[in-house]
Amino acid sequence: MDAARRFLSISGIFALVLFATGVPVCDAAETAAAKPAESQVASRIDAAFQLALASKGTLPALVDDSAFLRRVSLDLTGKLPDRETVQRFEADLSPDKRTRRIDQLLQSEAYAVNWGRYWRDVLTYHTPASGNYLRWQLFDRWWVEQLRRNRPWDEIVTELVTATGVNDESAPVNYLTALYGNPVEIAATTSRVFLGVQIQCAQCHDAKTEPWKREQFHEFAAFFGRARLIQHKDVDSRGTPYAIEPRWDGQYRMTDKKDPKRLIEMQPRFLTGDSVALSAPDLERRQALARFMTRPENPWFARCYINRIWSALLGWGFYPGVADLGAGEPPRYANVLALLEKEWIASGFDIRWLFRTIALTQVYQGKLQAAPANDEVTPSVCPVRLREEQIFEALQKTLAFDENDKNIPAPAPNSAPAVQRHSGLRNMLCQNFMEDPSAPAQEVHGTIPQALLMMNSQLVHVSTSAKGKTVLAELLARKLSDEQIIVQLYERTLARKPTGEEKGICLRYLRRVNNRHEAFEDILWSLVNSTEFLIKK
Amino acid sequence: MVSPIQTCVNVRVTADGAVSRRGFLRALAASAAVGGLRWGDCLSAFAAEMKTQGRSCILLWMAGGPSQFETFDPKPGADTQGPTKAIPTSVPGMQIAEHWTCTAKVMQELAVIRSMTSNEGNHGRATYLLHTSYPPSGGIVHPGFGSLVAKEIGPADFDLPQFVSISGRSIGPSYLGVRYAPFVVTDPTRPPDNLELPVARARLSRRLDLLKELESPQLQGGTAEFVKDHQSLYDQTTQMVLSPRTKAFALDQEAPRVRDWYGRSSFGQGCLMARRLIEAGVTFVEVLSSGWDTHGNELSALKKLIPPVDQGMAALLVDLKARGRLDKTLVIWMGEFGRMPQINLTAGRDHYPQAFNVALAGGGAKGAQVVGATDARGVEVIRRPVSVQDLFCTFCQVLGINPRREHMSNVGRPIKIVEHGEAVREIL
Repeated sequence: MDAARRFLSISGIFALVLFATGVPVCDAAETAAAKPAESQVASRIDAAFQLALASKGTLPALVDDSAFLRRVSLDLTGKLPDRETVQRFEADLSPDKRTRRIDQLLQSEAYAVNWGRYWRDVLTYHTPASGNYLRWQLFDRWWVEQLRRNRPWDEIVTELVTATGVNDESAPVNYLTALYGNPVEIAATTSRVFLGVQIQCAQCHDAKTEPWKREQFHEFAAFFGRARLIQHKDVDSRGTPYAIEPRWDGQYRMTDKKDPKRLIEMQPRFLTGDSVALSAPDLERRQALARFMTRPENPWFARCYINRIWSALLGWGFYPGVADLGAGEPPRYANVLALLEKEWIASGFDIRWLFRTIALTQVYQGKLQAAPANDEVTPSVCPVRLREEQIFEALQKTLAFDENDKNIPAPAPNSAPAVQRHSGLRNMLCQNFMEDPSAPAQEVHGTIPQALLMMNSQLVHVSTSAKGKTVLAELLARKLSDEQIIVQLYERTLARKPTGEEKGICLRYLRRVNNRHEAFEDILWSLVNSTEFLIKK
Repeated sequence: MVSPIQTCVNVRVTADGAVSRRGFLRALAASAAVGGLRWGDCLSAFAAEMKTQGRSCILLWMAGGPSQFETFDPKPGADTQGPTKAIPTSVPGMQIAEHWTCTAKVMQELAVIRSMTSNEGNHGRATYLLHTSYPPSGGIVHPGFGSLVAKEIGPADFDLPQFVSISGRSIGPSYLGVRYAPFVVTDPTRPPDNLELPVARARLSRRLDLLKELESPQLQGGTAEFVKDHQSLYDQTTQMVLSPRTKAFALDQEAPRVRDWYGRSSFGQGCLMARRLIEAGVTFVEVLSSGWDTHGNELSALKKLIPPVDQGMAALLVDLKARGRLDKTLVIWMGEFGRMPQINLTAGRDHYPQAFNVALAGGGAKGAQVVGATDARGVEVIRRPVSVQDLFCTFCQVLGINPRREHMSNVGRPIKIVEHGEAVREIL
């Protein structure tokens, strides 16, 4: 349904009158009714890219159905599509099947889990806090719930920034307790993650490459100056809980650079100049900050989120840094970003709206380009590596092992004092493949321990075996032809059929090895050890 | 007999593979001509290249930022010092903070720089700075020093990773490529996971050939860079798996008394593993000690933090010396910044990059000395300030690396190993 029709059906005559008389639609009538239509915005994005390209090229042609399905499934739900889904999708001849698939994926539980985990990791990747300061499982469930309910982004951020209470009861307050309630760390993270403003460099000195002054950082930190971390009693043996509670007096103070003995009281002031009084109590300060951050006039809030999601889906960003909008340099394809920004704000910071809009563009559905070697980025998808839990779940789906199988050894986790995030086999894999979700795609590389795990671990060895209760044993028992098994192995691991060339290589390999079981073990091993298994393209 | 210059040129060629002898000479002359280096520097660069063979570096990284007051720059009697006392060392007149009793006995090996100064007070940014010599800056991602040293002076054909990071991830290789990425050992008390082959060697090599053949069509097209990286990683991993040198990771080959000597802590065992790895030919090893971010209850935190580092570091220096490796191994002790002179309300110290300390030993660095000074209260550097760039130039000089050598970066322009600064002469 497009925007105008939905608008009419809900707001009825009142809106019609407004349209007829040419009066601009007022906000009240627009809420919840007239979100910009995703498909229209998507077409306008494609047109804007085409305009920017001018005579230098055209938009990429659409990828085939199986490549699209793998891409969009991994992006939205973090999961590989299974072979039946791929087959049904390929057989479906209706013209809107990609649009319908996008909608189905966005409504699935896997979507909420995938992006809930993403944000959980963005906010907890760097913290050295122990499990008492960060109730990781609670925080994880909270994030998934926000995504499931499709809470608007401004509401989510407001709840995090203004959270209070004990961290084993109030999930969002873990954002603050994981940073030890320290105003400096909270200000730095809040500004980096939610605004893409790297103001923390100004903590000690006026930033050299950015417009920020030292006092601006401390004015920002002062919004958190009356929130304090309080240790509570561990009454139920769940570990000492921590709370964020208001302090009724006292001020956030900055050391005077010239005279380090002197401390200067800082008035909470946002980057745009909006401020609250020194006398304002804790919650008033943080609520004001949330308002300043999320109001549409703040240039960073929407842009930062859009840049991040775009980077995750396309493999490159309007700005090179995922959490760094730079110091005023123009973004790539500024017209596209401006368009997305305007319409996403109009959608009411609707999280699903943005995913749907991006996924509907031809640029997203088009063929790949190589990872950008320099700043010249053409409008098409670049490959990116999968995140750790996506890799784990792809492996699990492909090899059908039991995550809690105690017969497969999982080396003891690192003894470093950190939050226990996962357990068992998932923990083994995630510890090896863990990456900061805010790291730019070009900075994420494979490591030897990762390769060792995929090559040599008991997990991969046992589950690629032709013996026992394994995927391969089951296929071999079904009296399929070599070629049929090859096709099925490709569909399981890579969610596509092998090319003629690949089929030829595998068949020749089977003949050369002359031991059917061993040869198929080797083929399956090669597929899970391939580059393609680890990337989204 | 081979002349010194001949040796140096040969080293260059084998280390790089691509630079001809004449090319190398021309490059040096050219950089001298444009004023990047004076001729004297060129000569010392030659000398450095000669010494480079068999050199290595161990970085003992104190993550979180160790307090200078409670390590190597105590200020007895000052209002900023707190209850920690100063103790004498094996070097007459040189005092360090109490609890560093083992290190105090090997002070003749150590040079302490008390006048380090920087302006990065955020962990992430300062950790980056003290690993790359560059502050983080938008588009360019700089390689970590471990990767740079591995690339510059590591042997060309080596079957273990040339850069190993113990108990932490260090900083990646960026544009130097996955070949120079740190191999991370999460727990030094056991060998790295999955080093053992589950199938026969011949079977592995057959599998790897199949994998290569299947992926070869993808060496063209949109994922080509990923496939190349992946293949290079698998080549390196395979070499390692098949190498007899992996026993360097097996600490159970050491006598229990040696393991006790280094201390049964994660850090102590990490130091022992570092020594074994260096002897096996690894170029750069980083050993991490974490928890130095002592914002609250500093003294009780330090009571746990210092002893393992003190014991491990002292044992490492004595052991390297006894085995004749200390002259060729630069050992660096440092963290990302120092801590505030003022003790805060929770009996801790907050971040302080303006004045902090670093200690060096081995590799020919001159020990038994203090470079630079802070004022009586430890607030400001009053003598011979040393910037992070100066410090990295010093590391380079000790290791025989030309700090102005350039590598092509990810943004298409060449980046020097260290952009500015000069080596601290007193140490050389």
